[in-house]
Amino acid sequence: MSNEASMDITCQELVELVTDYLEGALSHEDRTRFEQHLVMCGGCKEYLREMRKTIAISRKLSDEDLPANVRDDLLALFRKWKAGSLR
Amino acid sequence: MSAMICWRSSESGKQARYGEGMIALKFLARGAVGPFTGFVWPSPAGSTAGAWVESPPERFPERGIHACLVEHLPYWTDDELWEVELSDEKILRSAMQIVASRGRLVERVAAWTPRLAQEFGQACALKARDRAVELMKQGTRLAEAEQLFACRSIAELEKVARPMSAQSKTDSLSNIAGYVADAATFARISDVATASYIAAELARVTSGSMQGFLLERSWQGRWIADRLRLAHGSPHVSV
Amino acid sequence: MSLVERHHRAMVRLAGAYVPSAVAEEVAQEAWIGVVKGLHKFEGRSSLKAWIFRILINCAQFRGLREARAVPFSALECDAQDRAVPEERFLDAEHPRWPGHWAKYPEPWSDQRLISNETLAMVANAMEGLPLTQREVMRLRDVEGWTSAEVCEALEISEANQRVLLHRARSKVRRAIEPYMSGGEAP
Repeated sequence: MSNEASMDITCQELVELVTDYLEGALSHEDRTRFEQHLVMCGGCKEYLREMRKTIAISRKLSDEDLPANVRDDLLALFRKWKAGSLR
Repeated sequence: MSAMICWRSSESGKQARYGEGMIALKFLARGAVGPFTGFVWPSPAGSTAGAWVESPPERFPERGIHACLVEHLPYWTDDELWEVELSDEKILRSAMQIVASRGRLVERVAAWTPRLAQEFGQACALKARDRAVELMKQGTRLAEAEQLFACRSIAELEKVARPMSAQSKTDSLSNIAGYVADAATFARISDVATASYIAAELARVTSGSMQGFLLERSWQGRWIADRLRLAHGSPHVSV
Repeated sequence: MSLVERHHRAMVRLAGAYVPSAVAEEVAQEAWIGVVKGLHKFEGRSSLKAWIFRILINCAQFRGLREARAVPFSALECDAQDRAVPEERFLDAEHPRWPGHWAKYPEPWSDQRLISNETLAMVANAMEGLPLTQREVMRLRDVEGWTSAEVCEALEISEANQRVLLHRARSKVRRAIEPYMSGGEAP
């Protein structure tokens, strides 16, 4: 009995497609498959949320946006890491 | 946050709920929010439709307003169901949805409640159960077929089907019990979209073709249509 | 059971994710030819199974591009270290119902930590750890807010390459902050 494969993308594929999706680089058909997978996969919905949050946090690193005291705290923490308190 | 989508929302000049365009359906997350973008759709106020939302015409259909005809509904279930008016200029129909360049919310479909959604999820899981029972009878796994058949609730179905699926990774009837257990799990937590998908997947796997998947989705669409008292096959809503 | 018997069915199933099932068997056979031809080059850096499946995926991608159901290219070009999420977070190809799906859903992130200085510092640190071009692309796009056209022009790279670099950068940064964001201890 032949088994016609599902049209669904897997979660493993989705996490590699996230950037293309956010960039609007997926074809109409691929975007539909991406979103259809999201509808029925809470894990991937969460992953996409996390990716968006990561980007949102990165935005805050722009010098212009950071108030001086936050930037100083940040640099201090950063130097601590570089000095080897991590890894 | 929704950097990838450029919506331009323009004021609606029309007071009427139904304008020149076609009426279709659209699922949104709680608060009339787009489930993938977080975009907040302008809501209708009284008898005035929500403001028109447009997507850049040069990016159609990669970017566009997505909506459902009745048969598309089971693919996109979510918290809220809305009637949406789409402008006729460009409408693309694909297998799972339609895409237009402009749309506006007209009216909430009140009949799609969390309770109804949950019932839908359960109906899908129970249909998967029925499919499994049939196959087990044919495969002479009569005791297991009876046990599944006797389940009176989704929680019970999950409890009964789960151990059946653990019996063997390669035996196809055990795997079918696995699909039933999975569908029941998601129906129990009211993850309706996932439960309905799993039921359709079981149909694909047991029939060996996408036709099986599509037929199950058709059944699901009819279930929703009947319960919402929508004219089946017609994009227009008469609730 | 021989090597071939042990893996062939899983390979056909996996190929079926990229090409129509009528073609999946062919693709699996092409992959075996690739395995035989390349076995002398196998250096043992990954497991033999992973190496065989890598060849299979390459064959399936190539065929998949010519068939209607191709997965977009940038999704496919990655080796183990460039994976957005480690392989073991997903059910393997042998799972009877959901190969490639999350073995366990990612834990939701704390909103509190989203706005904390520690998180900002962790992101900055993670970006510093990126390979140069990945860091540059993410810095220009996400921190500085340049458009992709501007970045491509500045770095003299193609749109597609820019996306791959951005993807790897963002994925690594996300991975770096994930343990903390889902409630773990700050480093």
